[in-house]
Amino acid sequence: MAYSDKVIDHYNEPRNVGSLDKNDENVGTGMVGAPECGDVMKLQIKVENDVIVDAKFKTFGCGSAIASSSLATEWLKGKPIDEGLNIRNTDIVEELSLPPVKIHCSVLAEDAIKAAINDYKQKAANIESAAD
Amino acid sequence: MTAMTTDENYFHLFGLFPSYEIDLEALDAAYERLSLEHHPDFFANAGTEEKARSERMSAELNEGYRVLRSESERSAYLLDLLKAERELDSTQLPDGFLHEMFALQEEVDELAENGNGARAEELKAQAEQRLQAVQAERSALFANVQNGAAAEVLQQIQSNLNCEKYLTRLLGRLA
Repeated sequence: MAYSDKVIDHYNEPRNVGSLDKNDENVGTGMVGAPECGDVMKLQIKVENDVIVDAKFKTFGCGSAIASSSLATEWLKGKPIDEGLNIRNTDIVEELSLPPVKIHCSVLAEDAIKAAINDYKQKAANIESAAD
Repeated sequence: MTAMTTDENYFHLFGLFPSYEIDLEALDAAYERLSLEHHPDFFANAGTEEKARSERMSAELNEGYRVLRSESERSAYLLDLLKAERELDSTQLPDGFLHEMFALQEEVDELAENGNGARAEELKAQAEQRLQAVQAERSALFANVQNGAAAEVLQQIQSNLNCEKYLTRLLGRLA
């Protein structure tokens, strides 16, 4: 099975690899895994005024998993936080032309986005309730 | 000829009771006997239907033998039979497990860069130990199931099998 050009591009030059300080109150961290293959994906966002100003990822997995998370960080940057939740795995499948056997890689990326945003929201809610 | 249909499970196919512990010698013997009995070579001059059945049986015997012979594949297969219509969370892991795997994977990355062979061996031994512990736990969990334990044990087995996938993946990088 051949990878699409876009997958190869993201695999060879992954965007936004790295990590943000998970203890920063403006940073949300999503850590997800795919038991089918043992892939592990960490995706982080930095939020200012409800806008995602930075996103980083690190994925231990196949080319499609790396490309899916790389693309996800690209799409997240600059988006209002609630719009980030609208990114669907099917959008990733379409953009990267993923074959059916690699759809779970895009699901993993969607799960990571949700986990990161929820982690950030949880933190923000905790800070708010602590301030009350 | 014995009548066997595909809706029977692999354990029955080889005359075994569906369980985690199986008699591997009995499995080997049954596989050998049945493979010979259904071998397509003996049906070269048979009718189309009989020929097709022999091919189907041979394929099923090979796949069933492969699954039952492997401890982890047998476990996953048995879990599938035991859970029947019940829904299990197929991604569940013990708390902190993913973070631990991520940290270990990162360390493997660093090792690849600085080439610390001794530390790589240490990590490998550590991961192998974890894998053995996971397998030992699985055996104990299945023993509970045989004694009629609740659905939550099935979920624990699912989670246990998930752990193995991540550890195997990690060990693949340390090989």
